[in-house]
Amino acid sequence: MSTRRRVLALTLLLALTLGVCVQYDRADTDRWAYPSQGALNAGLDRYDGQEVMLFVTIADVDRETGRVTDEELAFAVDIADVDGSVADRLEAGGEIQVSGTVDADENTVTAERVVIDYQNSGDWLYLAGTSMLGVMLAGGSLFRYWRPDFSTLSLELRGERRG
Amino acid sequence: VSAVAEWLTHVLLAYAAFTPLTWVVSWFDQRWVAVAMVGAIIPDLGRIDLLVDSDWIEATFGVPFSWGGVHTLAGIGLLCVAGATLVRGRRRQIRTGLLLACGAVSHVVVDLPQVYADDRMLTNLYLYPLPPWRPPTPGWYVSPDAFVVVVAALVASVVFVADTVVRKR
Repeated sequence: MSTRRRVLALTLLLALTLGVCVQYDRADTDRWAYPSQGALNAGLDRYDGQEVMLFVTIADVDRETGRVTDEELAFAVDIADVDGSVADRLEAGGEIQVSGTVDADENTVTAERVVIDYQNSGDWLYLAGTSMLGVMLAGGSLFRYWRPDFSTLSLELRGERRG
Repeated sequence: VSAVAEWLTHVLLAYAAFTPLTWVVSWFDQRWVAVAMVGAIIPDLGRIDLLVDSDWIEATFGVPFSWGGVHTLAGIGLLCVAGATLVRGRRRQIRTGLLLACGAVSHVVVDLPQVYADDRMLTNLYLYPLPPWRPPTPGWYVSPDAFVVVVAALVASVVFVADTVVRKR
C-alpha cells in the first residue's frame, strides 16, 4: 500500500471515528435503563419515584442538609440517608456515582447508594500522574523497537531497512 | 462517565498478559508486546476531552458529540485499524491491527469489574453499536484505588522475571 493510500485510509478512519462520536452521543441516552441527565434537568415531575443513576461532579456539599449540587444538574442530590461518613468525605471538585430515587416535590434525587470515584483534586492528580507514567512506559517500549520513518510516514522496525 | 483505571495499570497488565505469548509463538516478540501495550491505551484516547471538550465541539459545529464514542466497540475497532495503517506491508498491518485490538480488549476487561452505584457494569456503553447489556459487576475497585496499580506492578514484575529466566535458557 503506497504512502498516499495509507494516509488517505488513516484520514478516513479517523473521520469515521469522529462520526462514531457523533452517533454515540445521539444514542447514549437510549443505552441506559434510567432517564438521562438532560431529561431530568427538563423537569423531575415526569420521573417522580423512578430509580435513576447519576454521575455527579460536586460543586458544593451542604453537610447540614446532606445535599450535593452539580453545576450541570437542575436539581440537588440528597445523600442524608446514605452512611453519614460519605458526606464528610466529599469535597467540591470530586466525582461520585449516585443510585437513587427521584423526589419531584423536593426537586431532588434521594440517594440510596453513593460511590466516590474521585474524592478531591488529589485523586485527579494521582490519576493524571500514573496515567502519564503509563504513556511514557508504552511510548518508551514502542520506540525502543520501532522508529518513525518520516519519508514514508510510517513506523519501521529498528535495525531493518525496507524498500 | 469517567470511572476508568489509570493508564499505568492498563499498560503494565498488557505487558503481563502478552509477554508470555513470546515464549510460545515464534513471530511474536517484544516488538509486538510493545504494540499491544500501546493498544491498551486506545480506549482512553477519548481523554482528549480534557483538551478539546465535547461541549465545545457541539457548540462550534452544531452537532451532538461525545468523546465517549472512542471507548466503544466501534471507536476502538476503527482506531485499531487506523493504527495498522501506520506500518507498511500487509502482514505487518494485520499483526499491528490485531495486537492493538488485543491490547484494547485487555483495557476494557480491566475496566469492567469496577464499582458502579447500581452494581452493573458499563457494558451498555462499551458495546456500542451492539445492543446495550449490563451484567452485574463484582465491584473490585474505583479509579483512584492505589492497590490496583500495585497489583498490576507486582504481576508485571513476576512476568518480567519469568521472561528474563526464559530468555536465558
